[in-house]
Amino acid sequence: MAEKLQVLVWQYFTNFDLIIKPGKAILMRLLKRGLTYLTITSYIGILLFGIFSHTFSYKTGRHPSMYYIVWDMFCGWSAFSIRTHIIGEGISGKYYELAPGPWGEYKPYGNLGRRHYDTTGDAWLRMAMNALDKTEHEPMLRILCIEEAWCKKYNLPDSIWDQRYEEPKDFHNYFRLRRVITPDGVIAQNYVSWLARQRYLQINDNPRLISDMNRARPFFAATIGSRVEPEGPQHHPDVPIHLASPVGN
Amino acid sequence: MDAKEVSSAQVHSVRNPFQRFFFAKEIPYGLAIVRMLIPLVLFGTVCTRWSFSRELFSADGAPAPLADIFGFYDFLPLLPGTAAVALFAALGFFLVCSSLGWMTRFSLIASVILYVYFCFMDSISMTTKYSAIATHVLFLLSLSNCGAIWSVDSWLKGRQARRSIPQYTKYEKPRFEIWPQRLIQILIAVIYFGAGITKLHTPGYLEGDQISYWAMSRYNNPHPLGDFLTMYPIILSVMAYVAIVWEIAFVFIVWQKWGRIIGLAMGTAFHIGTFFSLGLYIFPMISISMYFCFLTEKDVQWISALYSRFSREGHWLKQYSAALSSAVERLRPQKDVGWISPVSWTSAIVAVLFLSVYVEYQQDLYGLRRAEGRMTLHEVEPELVQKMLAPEQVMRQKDKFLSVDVGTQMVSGRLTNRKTEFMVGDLILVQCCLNPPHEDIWIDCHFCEENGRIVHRSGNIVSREHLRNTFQIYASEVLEPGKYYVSIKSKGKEVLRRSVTLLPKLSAVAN
Repeated sequence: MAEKLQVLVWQYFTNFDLIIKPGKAILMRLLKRGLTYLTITSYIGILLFGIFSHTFSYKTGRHPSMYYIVWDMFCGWSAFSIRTHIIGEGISGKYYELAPGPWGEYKPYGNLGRRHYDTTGDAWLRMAMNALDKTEHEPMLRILCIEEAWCKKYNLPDSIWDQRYEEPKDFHNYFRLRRVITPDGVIAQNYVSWLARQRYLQINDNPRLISDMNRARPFFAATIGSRVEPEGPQHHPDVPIHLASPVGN
Repeated sequence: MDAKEVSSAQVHSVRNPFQRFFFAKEIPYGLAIVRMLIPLVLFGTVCTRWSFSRELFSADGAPAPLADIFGFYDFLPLLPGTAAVALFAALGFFLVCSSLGWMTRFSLIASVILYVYFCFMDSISMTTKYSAIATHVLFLLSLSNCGAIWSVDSWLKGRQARRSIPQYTKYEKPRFEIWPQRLIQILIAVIYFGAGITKLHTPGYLEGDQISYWAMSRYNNPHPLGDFLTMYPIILSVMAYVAIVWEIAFVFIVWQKWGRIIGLAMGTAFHIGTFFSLGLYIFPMISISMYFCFLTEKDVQWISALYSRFSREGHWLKQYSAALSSAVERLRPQKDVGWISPVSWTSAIVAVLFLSVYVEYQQDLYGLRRAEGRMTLHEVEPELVQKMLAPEQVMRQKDKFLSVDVGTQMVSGRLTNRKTEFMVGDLILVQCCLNPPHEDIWIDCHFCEENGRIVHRSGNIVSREHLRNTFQIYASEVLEPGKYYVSIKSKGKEVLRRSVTLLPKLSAVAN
């Protein structure tokens, strides 16, 4: 009886091995193929969503990962060169360079320092505070972020300039205060960029428009606290975000 | 044929090309080259940034997280300075290992994770579209078997594989499904399509104005060809059209026989063009490196046959090749010791981590451990401060104008033949180009004698959305041949001038 049982058990396991093992291999192969299909379709789907999102400007600013699927190289270059100066005003009345720090500056894409590529100004505060944190200096009254602009035609080398212009180069740069920061790192004042300001001035160079604007402005405050910044998200996800790095972003 | 067979055949007719496209098996030559090149290029970018990594990526510096711009504050943790320095060095090590094909898959996965992290930490000098593209490629390479050939891993495994097969059998390189390679190809096509859409969205792109201003900028490396091309905006405009057509058509032609050659040749020319005309260095290197994913097994066989023919003709080549092969074979470990590679790889990464921390400590970026004390801030010259803090200045009229050119021919709204000499009786075209932004502006165009006497005057309003205006001046027979000039005036002031010479009209003389 025991021998019979032993034989039965042995037969069961040998058959089990024969049936289950190839089945398992097929299952694994199917699973692997399924995962491959899933990877291919997901990846192509994500790429196509990026194209759709970019083409119709739909949720391009929704998430940082959108930067990796929106191919907006070459999103526009202005006619003016822009540079950034970050300086600190000491209590003695002297002004100090906070960016670059005295240890030097990284130049990522050419001969220009890193600060000049930060057109949104997001890192200005960090750059200034880092320089103050790592150096010996007198107490500061305020930190100023200043934008410098000039017409790009003055960048042309002299050989090209002489062929194209009869006038000598009359280089002129414009400065604009963009941000005032307190020594403890609080942004006290914030202004639009020099280019945005020029566009505003030029659109406003229209008496009819100004008169319409003035007529539409209420004499009394329409809502209580209307001068207070509204709460809520400051950036709508459908508004495209363009980083200004020089490889076209 | 019954209905079942017909439907089955239809299903197969759809499935088979799909199966062939993604699941055909090939030796991953193309992927191996991409694996060697892309991490190597990225390693170069890591090397240039490493000495500043504390400042660029860590809490002990001034990072600029990408997520902050999208309103996701504290999206990823900021690492302490030393940790960032060590991990950035580790990224360099992983990239080198990926390129060499040493512990390939693990190195690639580690490279992707660290590269994405550091790109997210510095949106100013690390996050660019080439870094986004490279991230995709590293990710797809990590899914592939790109390390199966032409790698340290395959070299170490080679002896074992060769020993296990009979002597008379030819050793064959391993074959794998090509879907990761196809995904990289699709990525390239989608990138170009997206870039084409961007160009369609960009005002002033097709006119060549945008490229012209880019060529005039100094944000990239030096680009003397770009400076030169600004004199010929029509060439830039033609190039803009060619680029946009190529970018959009790429996805439709690149999987055709001749389309692949044309598409990739144009792409290579395009990227090399951006090197010389726009000063882009890394982007072309990444893009051209990626093109090798279009390399097929047949291409390699063809190149190999070509090489064999050359080596038959030139014995020195064959000798060198044989000597190199035997040298490589001599270096290969003789025993089957599978543990050596992971252990030496782990030892190397530990060494890189410690060495990077030590070197950076010695380097002392901020000078905090200097004997003479901390660094002091540089004072800004009072004159410069005075200029910076002066009241707002109104933009000069001359800065609203880019150029004035005179000629006689126009193509696509652009003056194509700049001239200074004209015949009496010619119709002279004066094209005035403006810089954006400008208001609706009245421009006077005066055609004057050398002594300043105006002989012809015209004017026009140029609305804010236009960047060009062309005046026509008829040099009538009543004008004396001689020297004249064209003066462009705005708000009563001359902003640009161009000299011209009128030559007498030559009439046919009967002999």
